[in-house]
Amino acid sequence: MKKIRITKKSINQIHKFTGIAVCIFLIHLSITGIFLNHTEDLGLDEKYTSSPLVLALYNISMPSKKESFVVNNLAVSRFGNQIFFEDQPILKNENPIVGAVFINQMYVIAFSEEISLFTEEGELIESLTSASGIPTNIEKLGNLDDSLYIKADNQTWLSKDQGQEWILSSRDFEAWSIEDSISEEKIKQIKMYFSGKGVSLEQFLLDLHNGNIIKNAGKWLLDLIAIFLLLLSISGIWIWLRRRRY
Amino acid sequence: MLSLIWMMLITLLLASSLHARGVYQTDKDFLAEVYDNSPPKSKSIMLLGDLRKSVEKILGHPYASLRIRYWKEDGKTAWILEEIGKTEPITFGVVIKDSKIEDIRVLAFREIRGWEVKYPAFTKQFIGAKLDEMKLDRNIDGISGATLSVWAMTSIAELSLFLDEHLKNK
Repeated sequence: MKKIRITKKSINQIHKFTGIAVCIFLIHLSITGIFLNHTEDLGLDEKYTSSPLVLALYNISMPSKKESFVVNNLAVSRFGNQIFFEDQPILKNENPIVGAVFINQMYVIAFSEEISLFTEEGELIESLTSASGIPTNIEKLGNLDDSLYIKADNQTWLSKDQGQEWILSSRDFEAWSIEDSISEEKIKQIKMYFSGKGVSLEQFLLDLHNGNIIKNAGKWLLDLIAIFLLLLSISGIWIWLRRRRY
Repeated sequence: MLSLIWMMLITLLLASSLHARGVYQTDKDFLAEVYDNSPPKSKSIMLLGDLRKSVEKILGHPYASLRIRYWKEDGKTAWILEEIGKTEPITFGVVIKDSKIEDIRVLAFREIRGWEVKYPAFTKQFIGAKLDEMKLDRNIDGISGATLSVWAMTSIAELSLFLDEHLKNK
């Protein structure tokens, strides 16, 4: 078995290596520590970051906008599987919105396999599926006077009683609702639903300081730095004692 | 070799949990099965006033919609109802006959965990259950790891029995 020999050179190398590693960590600790000492002076507890990188570190995901319609001057949109009425979440549906209209003091949103009816306040009245008699494979939704129209499997269907009963229509209906963009301000408001204000800079700096930002790995990293500090101290004492001897 | 076996096991576990999510039976197929391929026309019930309050009391929160649809024929009432498990709605199909549950099943499951409530070995506990002061007349044994789904199914069983009684007293 090979004998491990502790030489002056190896102790010096350990001292040098652990010294550099601890030094880098202390610079990080000092900078974040100074900021944390002055969080109130710098207003860090009132400032928030919504940087995608920071949000990803906190496992906060931000689904992208899928479809949006503007109905009665109000935005109806889908982000991920969440449907919004302005910036209020009203329903979950993984299928695309194919149309949205306002009829008889009621909002109607059509998906490929169902139609959802809402009050003016955005409360769900009912979701109608094929079991309730609505056609499947809905492609478009529109309204004219007091009637609802849908296009499904290249056929036009008509309902005069708020979607309760549907009959085939021979009318050449063209007033389908179409997708419309919504303002950046509205998108920002909706994104607040997923991320809130974001992460406060105080929290971010604190988690950077104590290593929590990298979850469990932070704990192990701090353990490693503690071991380096021990090695640095022991090797330092050893070198000092050797110098005194000569 | 060992790492390959581990990878295969993990893949199998992930695949089984993903497979558990989805539509087990469409609303249309459920009704076709309940009413021998000729389901009656649907009717609806509006949750207003005291009825809305009672429904809220059973679920512990308001029902997702203001109107609930049901199908009634041959003394049987079929309900398609939704309740949140943990974060996503679970769709249940319930059949009531003579104020007792004749059938209850999961039609669509969207959560990652808790799908075990779909098994007949679990749902058979509900068969024949009646309402006793707004609660089921029996205890339902839970499933480890599926507590929220079990609670959701129990609430929906109570709700459908309550709504059925409401229709009779109307």
